[in-house]
Amino acid sequence: MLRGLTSLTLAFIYLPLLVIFLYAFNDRRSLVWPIEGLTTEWFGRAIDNPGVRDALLVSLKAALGATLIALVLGSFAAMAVARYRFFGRDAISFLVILPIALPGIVTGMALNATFRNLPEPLGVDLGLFTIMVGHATFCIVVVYNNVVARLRRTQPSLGEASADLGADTWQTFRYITFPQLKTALLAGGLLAFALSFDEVIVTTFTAGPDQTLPIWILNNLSRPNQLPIVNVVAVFVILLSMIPVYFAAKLSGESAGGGATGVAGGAR
Amino acid sequence: MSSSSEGLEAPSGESPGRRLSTFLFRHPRLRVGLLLAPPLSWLLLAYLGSLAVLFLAAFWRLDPFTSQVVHDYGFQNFQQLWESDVYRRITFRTIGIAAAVTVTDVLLAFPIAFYMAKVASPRTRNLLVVAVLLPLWGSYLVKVYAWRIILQENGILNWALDPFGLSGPGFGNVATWLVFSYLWLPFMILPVYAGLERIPNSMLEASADLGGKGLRTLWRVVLPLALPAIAAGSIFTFSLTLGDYITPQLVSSTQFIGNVVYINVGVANNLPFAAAFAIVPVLVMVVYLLVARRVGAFDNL
Amino acid sequence: MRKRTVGRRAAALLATGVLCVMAAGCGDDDEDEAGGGATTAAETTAGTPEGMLDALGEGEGQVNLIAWAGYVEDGSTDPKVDWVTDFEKETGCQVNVKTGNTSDEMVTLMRTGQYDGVSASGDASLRLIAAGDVAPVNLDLIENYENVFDGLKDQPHNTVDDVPYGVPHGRGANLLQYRTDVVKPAPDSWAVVWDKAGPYKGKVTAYDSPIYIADAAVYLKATQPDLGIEDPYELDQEQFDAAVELLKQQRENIGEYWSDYTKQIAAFTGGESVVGTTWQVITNVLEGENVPVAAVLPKEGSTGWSDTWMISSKAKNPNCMYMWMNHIISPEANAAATEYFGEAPSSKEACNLTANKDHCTIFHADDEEYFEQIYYWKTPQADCGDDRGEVCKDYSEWTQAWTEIKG
Repeated sequence: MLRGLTSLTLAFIYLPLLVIFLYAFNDRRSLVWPIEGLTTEWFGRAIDNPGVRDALLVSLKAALGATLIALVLGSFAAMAVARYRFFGRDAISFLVILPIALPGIVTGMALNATFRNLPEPLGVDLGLFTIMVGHATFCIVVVYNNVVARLRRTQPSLGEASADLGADTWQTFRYITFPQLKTALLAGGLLAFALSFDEVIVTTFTAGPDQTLPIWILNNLSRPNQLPIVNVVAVFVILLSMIPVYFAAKLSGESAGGGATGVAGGAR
Repeated sequence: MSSSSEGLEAPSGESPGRRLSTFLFRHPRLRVGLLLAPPLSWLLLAYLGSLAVLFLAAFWRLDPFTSQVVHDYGFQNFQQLWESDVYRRITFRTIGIAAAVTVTDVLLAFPIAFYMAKVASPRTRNLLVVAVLLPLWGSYLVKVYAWRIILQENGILNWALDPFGLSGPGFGNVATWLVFSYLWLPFMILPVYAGLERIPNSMLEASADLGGKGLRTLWRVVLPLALPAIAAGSIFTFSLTLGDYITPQLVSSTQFIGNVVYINVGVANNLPFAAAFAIVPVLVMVVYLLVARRVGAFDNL
Repeated sequence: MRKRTVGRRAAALLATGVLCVMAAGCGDDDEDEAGGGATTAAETTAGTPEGMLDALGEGEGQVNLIAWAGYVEDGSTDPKVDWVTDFEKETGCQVNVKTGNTSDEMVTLMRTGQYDGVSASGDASLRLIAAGDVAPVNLDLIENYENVFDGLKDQPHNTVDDVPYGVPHGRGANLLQYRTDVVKPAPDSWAVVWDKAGPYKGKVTAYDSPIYIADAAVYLKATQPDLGIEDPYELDQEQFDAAVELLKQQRENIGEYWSDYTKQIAAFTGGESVVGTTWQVITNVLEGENVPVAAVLPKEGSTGWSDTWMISSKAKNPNCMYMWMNHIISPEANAAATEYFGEAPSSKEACNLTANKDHCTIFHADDEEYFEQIYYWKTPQADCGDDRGEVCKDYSEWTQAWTEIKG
């Protein structure tokens, strides 16, 4: 019975994906059912399309940048919270989750207004940098949760033992703390990457003239001639992402609770 | 202690790095400070600061003659939101559907999460995790368009139900509920799976030994233990539905909070009004987060 | 994508700074300048209006545009549809275009100051002018302008106090589209979406934007003359309430509102919608897909649009923008662009260059009488522009009314 329910749920999850897959081969431009003919024309068009390639590049760069920032900030905050006691410690978890929990349109509007109204010397143009900043803000929680979960399961006494043996702060970090965190950071980083890659609402407000892949899709969904190419792109991304997702899953399995958030907040 | 380590230090061979690290070792508060400074300054200054300014704008107003925003503090926007009942309706509708989506996702996620946590072999488990995660990489927009194809008048659902003389819900509130439940399902499955995994099997066995049949164990033992994880998952299903405006536009003609905010920011240039209405979902989420924290959700994310 | 060499940045900053200061539209502070925006338009003095380019210089290498889907085609949609590549070769200005789905989006994007120009419809153009987001255009620098139809010059939606703010792309009407196999007899009046919409309950469609209130006003102008509606965008309280009431009644028959045209195409193909407002380009696509539809301009007249290419007050590539403006109203480009989209061209010569020789006749390109019945999209403002004074509803009130109508 449990197995049956599980299969049903999986079927429910994959049905729309099958639809996307099917329509990538549709030989008509409009979204009618049933499909009348199949063609692989769109695959060639998608590969040739410079817009797709540029958007993909921007998305990758933005996701990379956002992930790096989130890794640094998230692990710093996590180390502080897991290993020390200080005033306002409980509030940190709350603060960190806010960017993901509040509606994307609010975060987008707020950041957009800030970027546009900064005084000249600090002034930034909306573009790749601001996309990264926007994404990093809600990616921090992903890394944070992974690292906190991991730190809770490892003993601080190891660090103290290392100090007793004469290691300084950097050495302790390099030889003791970091190896413990490695897989948690990797899992968190991979999931932050996924979050950033598919985000659309905040990006709309912070992208300026640059197009990430979701923005490109948004622009092209309203152009009937481009619709099938969009389906092809979607299929492509899903297939390509099987590898990193598999690794993320394996690593998340080790830091059980931490894996979940990484996934959360993805398709905004 | 400090004197003995001072005595041990060789004055000439001491590198600045080492000296710094010793200094840090002796000043834990400074360490915390340094660790916290980057993330906090980012989040507090950049993020919260931006939010604060945005909500300050809620008290300004739009001058209809110049169409410019005037820094005239007052409650006019809130008054308008209160007086016209369409905003109340939209708010309740959004919250209602968000709640419905959350409940649906809990019901849908539980069986598969339980299977993954307690019944599946480790290899199957890994495969299932991948299977659940993979759809998230399919673009949100494309998935919603796929649902359009499924739900439209001559779409897949109606075509499938036709032989039985039934027909699908078409577009509208039901469609948005369906699509949202679909989109956020993985965000519920994973925390619940993680939470269930943490329940020791011995507990389940003990409950069985004490005479608890399947459903009883589920209700009395498993559910309470899994509650924090469920709460954690619900944070995402609820908040994501609350703020979304793209799906309602694509599979219905009804307005959600996000649609109203979005439309007021554009040509209308009415940022104060948009900000005022945007406060509503923010308040709702803050309350929700506080409750969720109480239940222990934050440890289960 | 964007090269940021120091020299280029400095030059751009200088140019931008000059344009900025003059247009008083360093828009970062549009929230601080209560009356600042409104005075921009009024700052015209004898001589060159402030913010206008004096002379054309060298192309900057690229131009960033915001445009309606289908306005800036470079062959990537369809290799045969391209009026951009030769422009890029001739001028060296690489064209980067961001599609806007609604005027709302375009205004928001322009406000960021990171685009050089926009193809603004009338409901956006006045908003942009008032906020100082666009600069006046020196028509002397655009040689193709003299070839523009007189009926499109000096229009109220892009010319303020005799100062021009752009060049017209073309003009078109919002038409009534219907499924020929469902809606019988063939309608010739908007009544079929208003009071006679009953038989099609749940399958009527309308444009999803507050500007659609003007369509209700157009209908009321013909059916309730004692309301005294002259201009469907200048509605005082009584007229406005009547229009809103009509729209609330229509709401019960509406199946879905459309804002992106893929949605409308899917709706008419799938059968969700059988009658409603449309653009000619949508009808063309549907006919191409063999969906049985037809479109007609009803006897009450209709709302329409005439898009204007406007240059940003913060344009980083003003020379390329001027070159683009000149190019898009040149006969060849204008013919290609307006034929593809399905609207009347702005360039007289274009009529001789369209693939379909009847294009200009079908779209009434120089039929000024026809266009008398079309009410171009225009941003509603509080100032009625006539002897009623400042009692008209402005766009923010239209937006709020629209929220109430949709419910």
